[in-house]
Amino acid sequence: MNQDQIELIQQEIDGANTPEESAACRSLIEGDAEAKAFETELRYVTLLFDRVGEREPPPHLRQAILDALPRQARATSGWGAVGDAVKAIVDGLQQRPRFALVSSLCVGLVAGFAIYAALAGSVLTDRSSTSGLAGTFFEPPAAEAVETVREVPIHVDGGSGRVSVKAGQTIVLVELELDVEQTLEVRLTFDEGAYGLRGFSRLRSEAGPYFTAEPGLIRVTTSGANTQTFVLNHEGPMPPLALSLFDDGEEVFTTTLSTREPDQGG
Amino acid sequence: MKETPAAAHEHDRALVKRCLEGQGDAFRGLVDRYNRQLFNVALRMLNNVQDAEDVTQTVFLNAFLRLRTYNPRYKFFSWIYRMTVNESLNMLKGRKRTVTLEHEIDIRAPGAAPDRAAEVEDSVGKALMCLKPDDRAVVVLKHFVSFSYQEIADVMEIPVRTVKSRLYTARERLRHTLRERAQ
Repeated sequence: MNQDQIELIQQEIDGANTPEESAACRSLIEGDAEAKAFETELRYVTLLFDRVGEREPPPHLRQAILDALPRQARATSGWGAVGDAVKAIVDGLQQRPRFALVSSLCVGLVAGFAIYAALAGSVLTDRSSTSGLAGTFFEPPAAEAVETVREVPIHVDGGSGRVSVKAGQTIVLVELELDVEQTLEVRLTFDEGAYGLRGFSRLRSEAGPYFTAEPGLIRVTTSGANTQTFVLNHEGPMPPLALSLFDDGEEVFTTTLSTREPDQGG
Repeated sequence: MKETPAAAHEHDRALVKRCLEGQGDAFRGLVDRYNRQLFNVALRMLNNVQDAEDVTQTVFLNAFLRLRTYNPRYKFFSWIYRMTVNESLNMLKGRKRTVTLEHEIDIRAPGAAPDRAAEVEDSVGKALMCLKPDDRAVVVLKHFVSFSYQEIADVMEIPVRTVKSRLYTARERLRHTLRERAQ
């Protein structure tokens, strides 16, 4: 069979032939044993896939998606029991305009982390029970476009990776992508109150990565192949954000991530 | 009654517009419309429920954050399926070890006794993992989302001819696997 004939049979099985092409295909199959065998096997493969139906997503998935989204997108999903306490404080402050501007973010940050630490401990090992909390504590901005402002390549003896920084008007996405043999520690440091942690993607690594977050510092411990995104929010121009990499407790490099600083990644 | 593609496109566009106007519940509508399908695409790409959940969640977060970059002249589902395929491909690249599954495949040859649904699903899942990720994506979009060649081309940003070629390559691989198992 030539390529055109193979394509004709494949299109017939996929229902993509015109009536004329279908007629030509039938004629080909009836008069050519090789074409007939090809068509039979191809149809069997196709039927095999068709026998596999859609899998029902896990029942918690929809809510997990909504919990990971900024609050505007969740709309009626609410703050949750812990979030209500924080919201009450923020709402109270917002009723007093003199305090509202500075305090709403800071109180969310401080109170959020206090309750967060009390409930979850200082170390998060399982995102499934904590992602909603992180998304709840901080006032999210509206959806906004982001663009890559920095890419920092990482090269260490045991592997490599990169850090991408994507910035919008009020949010910064820090994407870590590492594949290393040893255990590394990545630290993001910034002025207290400059950023709020608005969300994070699932932590994953064979060695059980985790992160701790406190005002001014996010610390990620990672090993193996791991991708991780943190969504931070801020007010005004993007504040400086320092990225440091530690290998076995020793600092490999530190670089400042902002729209203005030159790339100093190691 | 199932929506026509044109109606689905209009429905999506309306939801995106409302979302960009600040109506938060509109994005919930998009989640409700697509979470099942995106989860299934990711599942067939990755053959791992947990990973598929991660990808689905990440895609929706990214979709929300980048909603302003979406061009409504194009189909929303092409955009969000593309994100799902790309996110799945990224996750596959991130996996440290690649497990060869060929010897675990248990697809029965034509004419064999009928498999139970779960066995078939398991076998198909493993067979898919033998394909190159790009070929697998085309097969998944064709068989599990029932996209046309053109729709797959739009999602994957490749020519229709390449779609056909990848589909053929993937099916040939599966055909040979079946033959080997039958012998």
